[in-house]
Amino acid sequence: MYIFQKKPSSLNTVHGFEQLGDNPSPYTLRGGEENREKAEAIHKNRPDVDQQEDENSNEPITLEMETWENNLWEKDFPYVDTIPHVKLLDRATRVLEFAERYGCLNQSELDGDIDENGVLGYFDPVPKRIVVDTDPDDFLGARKGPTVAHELGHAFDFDIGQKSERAGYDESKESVFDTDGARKDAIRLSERLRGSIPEGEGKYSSYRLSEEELLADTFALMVIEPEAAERVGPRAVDCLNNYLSVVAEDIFE
Amino acid sequence: MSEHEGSDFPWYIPDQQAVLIGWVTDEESEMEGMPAYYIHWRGGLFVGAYNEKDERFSPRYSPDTEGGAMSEQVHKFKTSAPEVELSPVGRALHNAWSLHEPGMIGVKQAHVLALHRAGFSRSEIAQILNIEPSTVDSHRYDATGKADAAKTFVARVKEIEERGDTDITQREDETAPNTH
Repeated sequence: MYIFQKKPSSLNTVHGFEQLGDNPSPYTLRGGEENREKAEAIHKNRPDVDQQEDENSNEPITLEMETWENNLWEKDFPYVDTIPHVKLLDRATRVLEFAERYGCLNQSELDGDIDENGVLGYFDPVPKRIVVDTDPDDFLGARKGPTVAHELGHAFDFDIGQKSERAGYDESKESVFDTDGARKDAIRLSERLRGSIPEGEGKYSSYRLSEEELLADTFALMVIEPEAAERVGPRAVDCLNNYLSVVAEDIFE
Repeated sequence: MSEHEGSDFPWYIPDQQAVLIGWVTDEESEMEGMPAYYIHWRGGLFVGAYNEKDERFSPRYSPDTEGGAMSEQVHKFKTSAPEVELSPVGRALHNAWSLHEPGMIGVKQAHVLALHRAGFSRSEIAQILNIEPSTVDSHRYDATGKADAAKTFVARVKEIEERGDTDITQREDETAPNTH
């Protein structure tokens, strides 16, 4: 279940961008019209081959024009030399096609209709179906490519982890993120994709901290931006590569 | 079992492998009114929102301690703040934990025994526990054997107490060895 919560209290304005949470990432920023136009003009003056190569991977974000201009290869300006959504969706779609061939997905509705505020996608284990309902004007992390990639994470987790056989007693449940460091990395990746994890209540924490959600968010970033995922959360990436080792070479570029 | 006593939430959502365990009744909690479902493939109990139009459950919260038997998670849900009310399945599984927890019976047997005693059919128990009906039979057979053995044990202890220090193995009945 991919939920994108945008409470007014979690929205800030930074350098003309609307930012979800405290940590800027390509997925948690939108807008930025004036600065963005200036940056786009600079980017378009670069040789085509440089533009394409720079847009192929995500480097650390800066919202300061001068910093970016002086470090074009080491820094990214949101929506300018970050990976464009069309490419994120291409990468997710390639994995979706593999999931269908592999047999862990039977149905996909990428223009589905979900009548629940903030819910952008879900995976149903019994029909092995993903349904996605996204808005092209939303934050990048709430758009179709990242949402599809997240739900595919559930589909592979369900299949590889043989989770239909848990049968109400998961005595053998072992954490995929088996060290504190790996779990911290997975949380960092989740917050990069969907913004800060909401507070829980008492002995209950946000469902986003559950193993399955952290796994699906890590999976999504490994599909749509593999180099950045490795840079931001290397220990979580290692764990997921091990967990999905039988299909990892087919999924991750 | 389609009757769900006091709630409008479906007792089972097939596509999600989700079983209704109860709902939060605590007025002080931001989770008030939310149902709790055990989702088999996630191996855990979640509190969240039920959407009638889509007939879907959306998890929002999970207990801090993941894992453990289904009945153990129901027990934690019932005994941790905030206040909750259990569904018929939740009540049966809560009873199952109190049967298993002292070590008298295996947890899988306890699940089947408690659900059977609560009136659920063989196929319903299979669905609730996400197991084959034949596995229900097997656990029920084992559980019934232990229950019968326990009854016999209690009866014999009572007999000893009533007869003082008399050697009860010397009596002539169908269970004692033939001494003639």
